[in-house]
Parts: sequence; C-alpha cells; structure tokens
Amino acid sequence: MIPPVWQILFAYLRRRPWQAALGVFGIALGIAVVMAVQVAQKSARHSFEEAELTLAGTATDRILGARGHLPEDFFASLCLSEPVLQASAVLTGHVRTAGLRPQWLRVHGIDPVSAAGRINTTRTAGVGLPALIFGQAAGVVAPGLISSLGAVETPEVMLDGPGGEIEVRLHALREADAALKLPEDLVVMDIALAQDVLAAPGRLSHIDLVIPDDGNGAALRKRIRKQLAAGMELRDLRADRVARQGLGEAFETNLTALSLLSLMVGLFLVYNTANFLVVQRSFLFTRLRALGVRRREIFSAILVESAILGALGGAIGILLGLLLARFLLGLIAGTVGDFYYSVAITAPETSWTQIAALWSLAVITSLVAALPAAWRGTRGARLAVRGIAPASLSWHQPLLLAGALMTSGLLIHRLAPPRLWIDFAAMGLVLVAVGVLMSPLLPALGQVLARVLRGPRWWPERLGAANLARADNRSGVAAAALCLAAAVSLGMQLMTASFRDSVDRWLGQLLRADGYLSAPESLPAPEAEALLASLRARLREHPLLSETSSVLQRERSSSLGRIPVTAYELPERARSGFELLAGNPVVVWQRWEGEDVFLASESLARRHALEPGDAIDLETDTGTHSFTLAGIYRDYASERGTVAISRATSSRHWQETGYSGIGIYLRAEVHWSEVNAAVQELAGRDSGIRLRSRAEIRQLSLAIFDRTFAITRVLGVLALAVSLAGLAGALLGQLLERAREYSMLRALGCSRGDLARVLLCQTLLTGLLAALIALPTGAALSLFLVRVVNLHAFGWTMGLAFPPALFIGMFVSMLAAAALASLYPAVRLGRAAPAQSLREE
Amino acid sequence: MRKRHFLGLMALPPALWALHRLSASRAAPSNPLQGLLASEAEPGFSRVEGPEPFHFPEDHGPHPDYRHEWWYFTGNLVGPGDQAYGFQLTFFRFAITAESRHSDSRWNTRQAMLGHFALTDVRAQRFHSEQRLERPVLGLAGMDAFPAKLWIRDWHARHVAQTREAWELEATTATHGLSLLLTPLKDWVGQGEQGYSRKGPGEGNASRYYSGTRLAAKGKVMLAGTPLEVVGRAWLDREWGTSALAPGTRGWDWFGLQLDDGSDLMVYLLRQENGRASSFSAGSLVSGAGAVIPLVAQDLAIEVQDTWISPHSGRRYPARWRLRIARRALDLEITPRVADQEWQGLVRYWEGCVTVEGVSAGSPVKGLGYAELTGY
Repeated sequence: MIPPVWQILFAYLRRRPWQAALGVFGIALGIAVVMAVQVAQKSARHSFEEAELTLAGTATDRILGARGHLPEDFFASLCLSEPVLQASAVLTGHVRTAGLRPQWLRVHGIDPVSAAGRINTTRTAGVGLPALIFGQAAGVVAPGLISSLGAVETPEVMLDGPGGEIEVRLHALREADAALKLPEDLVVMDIALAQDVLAAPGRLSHIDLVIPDDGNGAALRKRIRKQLAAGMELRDLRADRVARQGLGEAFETNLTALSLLSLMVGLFLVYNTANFLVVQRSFLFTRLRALGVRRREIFSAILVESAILGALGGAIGILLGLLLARFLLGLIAGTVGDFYYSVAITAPETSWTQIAALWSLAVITSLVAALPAAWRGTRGARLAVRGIAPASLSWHQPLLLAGALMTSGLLIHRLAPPRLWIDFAAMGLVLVAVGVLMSPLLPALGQVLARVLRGPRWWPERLGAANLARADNRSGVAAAALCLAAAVSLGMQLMTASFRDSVDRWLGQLLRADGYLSAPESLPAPEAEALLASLRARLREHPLLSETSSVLQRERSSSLGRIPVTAYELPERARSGFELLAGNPVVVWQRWEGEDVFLASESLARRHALEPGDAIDLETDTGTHSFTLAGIYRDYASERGTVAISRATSSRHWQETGYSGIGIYLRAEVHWSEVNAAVQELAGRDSGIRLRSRAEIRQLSLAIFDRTFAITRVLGVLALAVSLAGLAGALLGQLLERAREYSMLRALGCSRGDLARVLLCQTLLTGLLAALIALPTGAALSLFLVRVVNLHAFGWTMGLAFPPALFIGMFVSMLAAAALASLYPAVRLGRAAPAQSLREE
Repeated sequence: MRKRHFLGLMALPPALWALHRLSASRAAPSNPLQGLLASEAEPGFSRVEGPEPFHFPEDHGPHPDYRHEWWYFTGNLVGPGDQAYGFQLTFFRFAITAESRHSDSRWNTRQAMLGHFALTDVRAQRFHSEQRLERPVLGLAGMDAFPAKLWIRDWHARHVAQTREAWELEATTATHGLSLLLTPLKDWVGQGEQGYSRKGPGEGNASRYYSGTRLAAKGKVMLAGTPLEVVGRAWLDREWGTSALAPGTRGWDWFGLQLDDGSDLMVYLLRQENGRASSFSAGSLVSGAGAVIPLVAQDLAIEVQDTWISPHSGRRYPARWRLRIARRALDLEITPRVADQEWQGLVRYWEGCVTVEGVSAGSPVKGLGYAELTGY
C-alpha cells in the first residue's frame, strides 16, 4: 500500500502535471547533452579505429620493400622458413574508374584465404570476403562508394589501371558487417586481381605480420631481419599506431573537454530542477508536519519522488541524447574527414553500461539535489506555516566553499603532473567555485538594487530586485548554470578566435609565393608528383614568372619513429615565411642548403624535447644519416610535427624527382589571369592541375579550420540553451510559488505590464550578474585553454586574441536570453485569473 | 537469399558443418569461412552420380574438379610409460569457383586449403589444436597428384609406396608436433555402395568416400616441446564431391571405432532439426579379415547417455553414447577420453578420441576410436 504522505505528494504533482513535466524536462535536457557528446565521440572514435583495423588488422609489424615494392617470392620463402609466422601479403595501388566521371580509387589487394585463417590479422576477413572476392573479378567497397558511383546493389565497374581496363564487380560491405569500416575511396580485392589491375605480377607492397609480444617475438624479429634483403625494412606498426593515436588524442581532448563541461552544466540543471520541486512545496511540508506527519515519512517520500522523476527524466534524456548524437556525429565526421580520410559513420553507438551509468547519474543527482531541500523542508515545524522558505545557506558558507574549490583547483594545477585530464579537473573545480559564488551574490545584488530603486515609478523593478534578494538558492543555482555555460562557451570561442588569429597570421607569413599549383587530390601521390615535376620543368623558364619554389612531403623512418619530412626548395625571399622560434636565422640560412641540417616544427620539437644543436637519424637511400637541428619554426599544419630540410639536402640523400606542390612568383606587372591561362595551357586542359592564389589558399585553410571548430560552437550554444531553459524553469517555479502574491497584486489593480516588468527585472538582473561573472571567467578560461590545454594537447603556442565583439556579443545575448526567459512566465501570469488563484489558496 | 545458400553449401566437410551452425546462429559473429562456402555449388563442378570402382594410388591424390575434398587422419597413440595420446591431422581442399579467372598472377587459383591439427594428452586431459588456411600458390601450400602429397607450409601428408604402401604425416606448431608413418593393416574400404556415399535425396548429393579403417602408426609426437616416441592405430577417411545436405539436417555424429577383436566400425548419424536421425545415416563394419558389411540407418540405435557443456562456447555436446547394432549383436558404450576436445575459434566442433567397451556377439569387447560431433 502506498503511504498517505506519498499519495499527497503524488496528488500534488498530478494536479500540476506540467510542474512535474518541467522537472523531468530539466533533467532530460541535462542528461541528453552529456549523452549526445559521449555517444558521438565514442562512435566517431570507434569508426576511425575500425577503419584503421579493417586494413591493418591486428598486425604488429610490417615489412616494406625498397622503393615500395617487395618480390612475392620473398613472402613465400619467409612463410616457409617461419611456418608459424602469421603473415599477410598486401599489394596496394591506384586505379581509376572508367566512364563519364572517372574517380580514383585506392586498391588494397589481400589474400582473403590466409587472412580468414588468421582471423585477427586482417579484419576485412570478417566480411565474408573469401566468397566475395577470392579468385574472382570482384572487390569490396564501403556502401558510400557504390552510391557515389551512382549505382545500386553490386555494379560491374570498369577499373582502369596500369594493367589496362578490367571489369570488376563491386560488393558493398554488408550491413551486418557495419562494425567494419572501409575508407570510401578504397576497394579491397583479391591479391591476384590486384596484381592484374596494377600490372604488378610478382610484386607486393608490404607484408603485415602478427608477432607475439614475448621473448619468442623478439627472437622471431631477429630472424626475420636476417632474411631481409637490402632496402627492406621491418617496421614496428604499434609505434606508428601510437603516433596516430596521439594525433587522435588531441582531437578527442577537445571533445572530452566539451563533454565534461556539458556534464557540469547538465548536473547543475538536474540539481536545480530537483531542488526546485522540493522547495516549491515547503509550505505543504510544513503543513503536513503541523498535522503530525513524521519527519522521516516526508523525508523518504521526497526522496522517492526525486528518484522517480530522475529516472523518468534520465530515460527521456537518454533518448533525446541519441537523437542529438546523430547531429553531432556529422560534425565530428566532417572534421576528421578533413584531416584523415572520409569514413561513413553509420549510427550512434552506445552500450547498456553507458546508458545505465547515465541513467543512474540522473537518479543520483536528483537524489543528491533533493537531499538538502528535503532536510530543510522537513525541519519546518518551527517555520511560519504561511512563510516562504527562507534562504537557507548563510553568506559565508558558499564563500568558504567557493574558496576551497578554487584553491584546490589551483593547487592541483600547480602540483599535479601536467596531464590533460588533470588540467581539466583543475579547470572544472575552479568553474564550479565560480558557480557556487553566484548563490550569495545574486541576493546581495537584489538587496542593493532594491535599495537603490527608490522612486515610485520603479516599484515593479524594486519588487523584482527584492524577489532576488529573498530568493532561495534555487535561483542562485539557475544563475550559476547560466554563468558557467556562458563562461565555457565564451572561453571556447575566445580560444578558437585566438587560434584562428594565430593560424591566419602564420599563413600570412608562410605564404610567400603568388600562386600555388597542386595536382588533383584524387590523383595518387606518385602520379601527382610526376605531373607536377613535368609541369615545373616547363614553367622554369616561363616569361611570366620570375621564380618557382617547390615542396615534397614524405614519411621517413627516423630515430624518432616515422615522421613527416618536407623538402623545400625556396627562393631567398620565401625564407622569411619560416617564423623561427629558436635558432639564429642568419646561421640557419647559411647552413640550410650546404649542410645536413633541418628545421623542426614547434610541435615536433616539443614532443621530442628537441633543441637547436640536437641531432636525429634519418633513413636515407644510402643508409642511416645524422641531421642536426638548426632551428624551430612555427607551424600549425600538423599536430605530429614536421621535419623541414632543403631540397638540396634531400637530393644528397634521397633520389626523388617529384614534387608535392609548386609555388610560382610572378614578374612585376604580370596579371594573375594571364598566368592562370598560361599554366592551364601548359598543364593541359584536363590535367586537373589547380592554380590557387595566396589569398585562396589562406581562405581554404581557414575554412577547414572553421569546420574543425564547428562542433565547439554548437556545443557552446547547446550548453547555453540548456542553462537558459533552466533559468526559465526556475523563474516559472518562483511564479507558481508566489501565484497568490501576484494575484493579490493584480487584484489590487496592478497591470499586466507592471507584472511583466517585475519578472523582466528579475531575469535581467540574473542575466546581468551571470554575464558580469561569466565574461572575465570566460577570458580566464580561454587563457588556460590556450596556454595550458592546447600546449599539452598539440604542442602549439599561440597568441591570445580577445576580440571585443565576442564579449559584447556574449553580454548582449545573455541579457536577451534572460529577457526571453521571462517571456513565457509573464504571459502565463498575465493570463491567470487572479480571483481563482486567490480562491485556490 | 543468403540463408538458402547455407543449406546448399554444406556439402559434407565434416568439420565445417559446425560452421554452418555458427553462421546460422544470430548471436555469433560473422564467420570468415562462412563466406568461403557461402556460394551455391555453381554449375561446372563434377558431381558424384553413382558407384564406381576406385583407382589406387591415383585416388589418394586430389580431385580438383569436385568442389571439396579431405584427407582425415585420426588415431590413438601410446607413448613412454603407456601414456595415451590422440591425434587429428586433416587437409581440406575447397574449390571456390568452378572456372578459373584468366590472370597473369601466380596468386590466381580457385582452390583453398585448410589444415586442422590436434593433439590430445589423455593423462593431462589437455587438447591442443591449430588450424592453417592457405591458398595453394607460391609453394606455400599445395596438392600433388602422384605420388599423393598435401602440404600447408611445413605440415604435410605424403603417400609413399616404395616397399610397402604408407602415409607419412608431419605437423608442428610452436609447441606441439607430430611425425608419423601410417601403414595400412587392411585394404581400403569403399563406404556406401562401392564408395558411393549418399548424403541426401537428389542427383549428385553424394560423395566418393573410402576409409583406411586400421593403419599401424609409428613415430613421434612433440608435447609442449618434449618429443616422445609413440605407436598406435590410425584411421583415414577420404572423401570428395560436390554434394549438399538435405534441408533440415542439423549436424552429424561420426564414429570410427577400432575394436580389439580386430573389427572396425564406422557410423555416421545425420541429425535432423526434429531430433531424429536421417534415413541417409549409415555405416560399415569391417571384420578382422577385412570383410565389409554395410550398415543402413535402420541398423543403428544410438542413445546419448551423458552430455558435456563447453566452457568455451557454452554448447552442449553428447559425452557418452550407447550404440547398438542388433543385426550384428553389437552393444557398445562410447566414452570420450577427454571431455574438452572442442575446436575453438574459426570453426567450432568437437572431434576427439574415445574409448569403447561392450559386447559383440556375446563376448566382451573393448576398443579405441575417434568421434566427430557437429551442429551443436
């Protein structure tokens, strides 16, 4: 049987279902944001991990041949001499689809049979590959590729490769295997077909190995190394993977930060709602106590109710979160696509554990939020029956709490090792401290204003201020949530702005040539490099151009692992494009071409603690050579970092003929359009060569930058929206609580407009205080993000930018939003029939 | 559509029946081999359509025009201190397509080979198994016709016929190994009707099937790095065809038993979804002198007397049987020598050494053998 007290509480909620709904909605919204970010992040990570795994499998090592080729007989003799060795032969290359809209595809040729036998070696085996491609003219691709070819089901496609045109049936990765991901420009095929298509009989690109992680593994590696012919290399893939993970980590760090921050805002909201539902009925509780209901009974009834609402809100929030996650996923996928390769992220992924965790979070938070209120509410026998619940916490309590939180945050930051999550924890503590400060500040502000607004014309405003002054800490919590959300949003925006500003300035300095030539992106690297090389040969003596420059990008093995090495061929005047952060420019450029020196990008130097004078080893065509670090330069192009050398140095050690990009310098008074026409003429109309001006490159780079941070903005706005909903909710709750007062005012002849002013003043003041605290907090947060978090995550230093427009924008939007929050309550209040409210009482 | 294929595909590779079950189970992850076999037997493969005499030694070698084929060696061995061991070494061949694609690549083939090697240590109650899957190219794996030789990397089975006909077996893993010479003690036995073994209704749903029911085994096993001299008795099952099982067949239980009165008994029971044995279940009894008595479904009565639940897969396998063949006055109890002889990983089935004890024509009889359980 349900205890009578419970029945009374439930009856109360039943009579005011929308109040319960409001509470549930608040909880749901908070949980939804947390859920969405977590799910989106997890799904995105999973998708990209799968894409990696699908191709590389669980291979630990890879044998690479000289100039990218291995004889297949080497594979056979290796397998026969090491019969237990798990080895997979792989041949990769590029082909073009023949037809109206040719498209370049990467070919990934494997032996699906042996892969199936070593189920973990190549995850593609799980697709049921053998039946689809073994011994057949067929390939497996991501479903997105088939639709981009404009086909349905399993089309026969002409593949045009070095081996001529071959008709190949393409199968989409089955939906049942959606856990496996293929990049959308890749076709997996049988190695025999790959050799035919690529006209590479007898050739492999690499051999993937799974070598156990024990003493036997070390001995096995040693034996394999002995078998390697000249130019072959046994590479530790795990080390590479660690490097790639680091790459993803930086990106994920941003997301984690956002997720934690939205969690904080969400928790505030849940707390606010649960608290509100209790405080609102303190009158009822005191009456029940007066009627002789025992304290314990009320107490447990309140907790049960909170738990139920929390559970309900949590469930709705989880569903909402899943919907929201779909939207966020698109943003994340776009970002990663810009940097890596495009992978279709099919569906948000979640686990029951995660759902259970979030659900219990909703319930526990509601309980915790209800506890103090319940305790207060049940203590109320001594309180006046008709009283309003008084502000419970005294002045010094929150101040002490805020001080303690802030101090511990700062201490953690100072004393703990520099880890990202520790940074975030410290940041979180300080933010919560700021939030806590709001609850005593808001009534104080109300009090002051209530005194200041003396004139009779200002009575509604005075009343609004007075309302704040006597507000219970629920309003404080709403204000704190708003303040935090605004501060976080502003902080992220400022950080992004600083970052963008730095990137822009860097691009401005770096881009010295008048125009840049690039091969079509779809073109495989070797073809693209050769195309540019032949073009450059013809451009060199062109009458319109004064000079040309070039870059060549390569991944090379070094004592630091595989690292990108870029060879620059720069005219004198382009050298200033390198902003040297360390190293003497005069010396650097003196040694640049003639000696084996290199420049390290800032993130590379930071990652490996390199200083000018340090040396690294690079694998060259003629063996291992040592290169000396001459200087460190600013570079936002890659989080992994880059080694920059001169093309002259590169030519001494590697035989390379191609270019990844060409820069052109115009003669004076030559018009851009002339050059463009000349270049297109030289390159051939359908070569796909693109000439982009300096401004275009800059624009393009910034566009990518903006896409990357799109999700930051969206989450900032979401957090803000959630907190505004909280603010409106709090205000609405207050109205309900004081329905009788307002009705009385109406009955006394006060107009609807007057009442709206009361409310407006109240929310505007709340918004104002939140903004006043949020703006400096946001600025401090951005400082922390730039100086600490980004440095740890990416290894980049950057200048700080505080565009006033952002501050003003945030300030205005907070006030506008606060005003908006009073709108609905005001309308409700206006509609209420005063007589009825009075009678109800 | 695909579901239908599965029924058609399960032509009878014993170990791979389990695979069918695996692929049919919704909870199981998609299985790589399932794809290998998921295609219906396309036209172009040869089919077994009636009784026909065997031609030895040619028939020991591969028959690549049929879709599948296997060389199935099992046996019970005794080592120093009378320690008992069981072994299984199987070479499977599958043709994935009937026609070869024209190609300049040496990787081009329509055949794939699968090897299964298991050693059972009866005293330690341990089962060690390993598989290899390879395409017969570049010398990595292959099949020679005459003299017959199968190999996958360094595992091989070779038919030798210098002074006396024999099979040489060789297989090693990182820790275990086997090196045996198997000498037939009886003639090869054509199962079914002169080796025409029907697996279901319909034309061509049959395989060519012969057995070496009793081979003397001598050689070495390596157990966790320790080499041991062993002797014992082995059994060879050879089968090839392009057949499919009747729909509704769930799996089978196969027994190859060598009794100490000199007779050998082979029985397979095709289990249907309704729990009954199919009318295509069959067997044979080979007397000590080598006389062959074919057995049909009606001759066989099998009761499961105990079951074992695999801690790896959670599957419940029968773990003791009573086999009665009234026509031959045989009443045998068959018991696994080690409960856990379940194949893990890619293909799940149970294949292990068993002991037999019972009565034959009123006299007590004992023996050893191998059992294979699929579709659980």
